[in-house]
Amino acid sequence: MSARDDTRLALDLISGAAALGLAVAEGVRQVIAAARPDIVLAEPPPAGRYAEIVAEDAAVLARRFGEDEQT
Amino acid sequence: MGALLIITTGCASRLDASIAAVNGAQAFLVHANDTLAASHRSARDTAVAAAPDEPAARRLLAEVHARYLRAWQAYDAARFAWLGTAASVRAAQAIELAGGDHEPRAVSLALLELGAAYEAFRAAALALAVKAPVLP
Repeated sequence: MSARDDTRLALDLISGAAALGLAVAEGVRQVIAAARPDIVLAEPPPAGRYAEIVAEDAAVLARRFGEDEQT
Repeated sequence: MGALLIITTGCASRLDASIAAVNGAQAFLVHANDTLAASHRSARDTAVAAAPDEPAARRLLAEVHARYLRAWQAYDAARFAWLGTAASVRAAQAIELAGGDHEPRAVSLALLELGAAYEAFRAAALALAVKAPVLP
């Protein structure tokens, strides 16, 4: 087996283990939710929106200065 | 923030109280996210409206974004602290469900870290004159 095959196998094992871990965590969450529906943790808070707001710059500039050019 | 710990020590079920505290902190973070985003967009729109031309607007936009970056970084740090606290609560729940004894200090410490991260976010938001909600 080549080094590349070894690497691919290792990556497959890691991703398989990660998927299994996520499935177990989700299973635990569902069991807890079923056993104690009154005390379920809330969904995680949303990610920060800095990148989203910065990405709007082009549209904001076009709205402001695009309109000026038309008038 | 102190109340986060106090309610986890005086209740019949410390874990239930921890979950209530974590859920409360989640609501504050959701509100803080909306408040900061609204303030950031408002500052950006004001800057662009005041700029005489596009190069000036780009300069002002860069200044606005640089001013808000620290608050967003502090928000993300508080969010990651929330995720860590939620994970430790979930682990404690799983141990309790399996009939074992979990270490309550682990959850308390995670709550303490969450409180500290949230306070750091609030300080960064206050530096921008953004009124972030006070964690109980």
